[in-house]
Amino acid sequence: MTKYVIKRLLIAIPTFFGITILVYFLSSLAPGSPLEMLMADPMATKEDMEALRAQMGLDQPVIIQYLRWLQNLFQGNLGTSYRTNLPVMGMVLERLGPTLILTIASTVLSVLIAVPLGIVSAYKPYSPWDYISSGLSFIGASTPTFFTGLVFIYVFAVKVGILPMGGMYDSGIETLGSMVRHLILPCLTLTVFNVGSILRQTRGSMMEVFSEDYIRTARAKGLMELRVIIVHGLRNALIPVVTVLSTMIPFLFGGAVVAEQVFSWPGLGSLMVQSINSRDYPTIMGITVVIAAAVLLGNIITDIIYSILDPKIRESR
Amino acid sequence: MKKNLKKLTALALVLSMAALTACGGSGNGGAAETTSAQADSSSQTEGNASSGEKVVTIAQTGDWDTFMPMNTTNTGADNVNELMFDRLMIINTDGTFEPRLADSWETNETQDKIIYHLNENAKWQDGEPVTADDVVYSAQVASSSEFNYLRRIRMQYFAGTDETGMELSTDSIEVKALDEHTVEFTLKEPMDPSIVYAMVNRDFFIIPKHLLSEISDADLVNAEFWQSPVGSGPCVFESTISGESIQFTANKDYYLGAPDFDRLVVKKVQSSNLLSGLMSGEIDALSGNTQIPLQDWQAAKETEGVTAQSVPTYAYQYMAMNTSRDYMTKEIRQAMSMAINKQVIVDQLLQGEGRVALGPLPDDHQYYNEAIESMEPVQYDPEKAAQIVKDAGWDESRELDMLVSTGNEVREKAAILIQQDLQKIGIKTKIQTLDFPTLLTNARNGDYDICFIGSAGSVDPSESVPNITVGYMNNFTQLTDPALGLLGESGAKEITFEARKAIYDEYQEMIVDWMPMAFLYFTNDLFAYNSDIENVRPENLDYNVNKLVWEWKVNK
Repeated sequence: MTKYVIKRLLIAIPTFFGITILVYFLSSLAPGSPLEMLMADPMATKEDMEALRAQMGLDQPVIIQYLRWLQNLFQGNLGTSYRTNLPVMGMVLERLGPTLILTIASTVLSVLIAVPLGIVSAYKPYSPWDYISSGLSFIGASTPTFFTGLVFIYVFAVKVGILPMGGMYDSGIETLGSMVRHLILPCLTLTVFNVGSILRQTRGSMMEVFSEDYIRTARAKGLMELRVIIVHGLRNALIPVVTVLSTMIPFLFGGAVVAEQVFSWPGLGSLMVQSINSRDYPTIMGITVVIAAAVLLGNIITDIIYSILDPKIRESR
Repeated sequence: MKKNLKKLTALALVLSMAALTACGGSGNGGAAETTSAQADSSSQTEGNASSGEKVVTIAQTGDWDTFMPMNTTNTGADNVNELMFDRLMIINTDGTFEPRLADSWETNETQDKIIYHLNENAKWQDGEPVTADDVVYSAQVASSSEFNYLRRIRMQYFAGTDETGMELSTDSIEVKALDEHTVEFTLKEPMDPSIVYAMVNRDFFIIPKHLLSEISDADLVNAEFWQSPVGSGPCVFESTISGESIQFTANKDYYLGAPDFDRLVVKKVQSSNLLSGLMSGEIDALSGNTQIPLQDWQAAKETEGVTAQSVPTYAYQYMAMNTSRDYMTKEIRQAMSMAINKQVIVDQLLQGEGRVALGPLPDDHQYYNEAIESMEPVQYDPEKAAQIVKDAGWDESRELDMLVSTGNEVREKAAILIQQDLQKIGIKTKIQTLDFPTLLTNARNGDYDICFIGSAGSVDPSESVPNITVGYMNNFTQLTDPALGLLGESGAKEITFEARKAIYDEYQEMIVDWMPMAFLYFTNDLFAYNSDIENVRPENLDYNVNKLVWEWKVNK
């Protein structure tokens, strides 16, 4: 088991650096530079701009810039933001909390909703319930997040007026209750989007499992139906569900970008959008590092959960 | 087994009901949620009422990047810094000036020195008095060679600096304290002081010497001070949640008057949510750089409890034409200007909340030259324009690159109307939509034919000069003939209004004749606030920086 985990980690390391190289070069290749935005002042001259370019080291070849960045990374330094002049590490950590709260809350909620619904659908396929839950989840998954978000704001914040339309806290009240109230709408928005894929996967694999011999055996032994479904069926059906969850991690961050923008949720997503808009390379890279690490870690954890759920996987690798 | 199945079905039903409620928020489950949440929020309101705190929430769409006022060119940051720090004066949109940190100001007879008399009651939020030394220190930092004040060029007017506004040697800028509350700025040469008032004082914030002078200028931008700044303004910094909000308490000792609120919160809000926020009471007012989106404007005007006010400004949009392209001759550029139906853009796209622009200055600007109204290149005359294009032997198969940036809906739609206008006179264009930094790069490199740019305008007529002068970043039209720029710059050297007016009259005629850019429209600021707040003066917004929050009367 330990060997297996170490092996997974060793594969993750080159992947991580591959990601940083790709993002660094792609963002440098993108037209527009951080200087354009810093030099937005109408009275700026070309000389000012060149001086600033040299001062920021942007006149160097991209490869040198990347190596310099990498060198700092190994010293635990993510650099200083071009936009705010604050250390990137602090900025990213500050935003990581809200993003984790949002993504974890919506993942948990999605699983809580989608897995039972998927079981019901699989248990009675092609029943009205199956059609209703599949239909709703399709609608949810195919509606863009920003649209769902705006509808929720219109209904709950403007018309009914029970929930705030954005932000993380009420003015001047930084309490848990206030945060939870602000969390509801963005969390629901993401959940509506995520439920569909988990539900389809649960339904599919549950249906497959229900036709297995061991389910028939379990029923023949006279076990309670609920026990058959949960213990014999669900455990085996969960493997594909876990796969879906792990492939969802990057999409969760992606979906959070939009939801965070719509609801002014102060997470990594909204920071990423601002950083890209101002070509703030150090911050873009800082966020990349964090998200890449999160995704790779997520994948390793999934692999470990696999091997717990299904010993065959552990042995075959 | 059958019994179990029933149990299971019941369980599943309950679960899916819960799920549906969560998804759609319909049905009774939703109503139950309503009551509990309402109870929750009303208890909160009571909590506030019993402590008697008046909280004002200002919404801002753009981010603030730093609280170091000399390390930004971002109006989002200016708007926040304006609450904490003071500038010497308030610049009204009509070109008049009002006291802020300075009570009064004057020039010497030769008009090469400006003297400010500071408000003697002004105090830093830690209780120390604001003195002339603080102003001197701020000017020294702004012109320092040890760090890049991104607006350092503003300091170029003062003696002891080079043409970029940088000090010639350490603290060489000629600004001195005459006594504790009097400070004197020496100009390089005699000039109309209103240029300095308008161009320098707009964003020249005074920072506290007694708290900062120990830090070298090079380390200043990274100083911890800016994480929790101490200013002299009406609001005292309390805390911030990055990208979400900033909390202030009122500076009840503010020398221009104690604010009528206890706390002020600046909150980041998506522009599509501004009106909803005003309706639900989560937002009380908009920050200076934040406006109601045009599509919500009608609704904002009709919403009870919300005061909506449209303020004409000097901010304008223009269509830059790349003069370095040999096919973009003066005749063709003039013809393109004549082809554009600007009135339709103002009436249809701006819903009348703006004005047609002929030149860089609107007709209520004190330097406006009426003579341009009768000049041919600004007349809407598509037939004549078509004739000019035909006579010039325009290659009808040529397709011009028309760049427009995302994020300004009116501008994006205007590009489409203009594309059709140009099509009518036989000029084909291809619209490319880019993000703003990319558009700036292309425009600055001259890698385009036509592009759309906006400017904030100014009470000073020289505002547009860098946009047509060789060597400036914003010379998007790639003009290489220095004559127009030299004329514009010579206007800064005259010291009387009459002499300057004569020069800028000529300048406006020349820019219309040369037509490096076609001026399209002046925009109005669409401001809205909770009607419970009185004495808000959006017309004094001072290029979006001046909220005068200490004057607000809050009836909450």
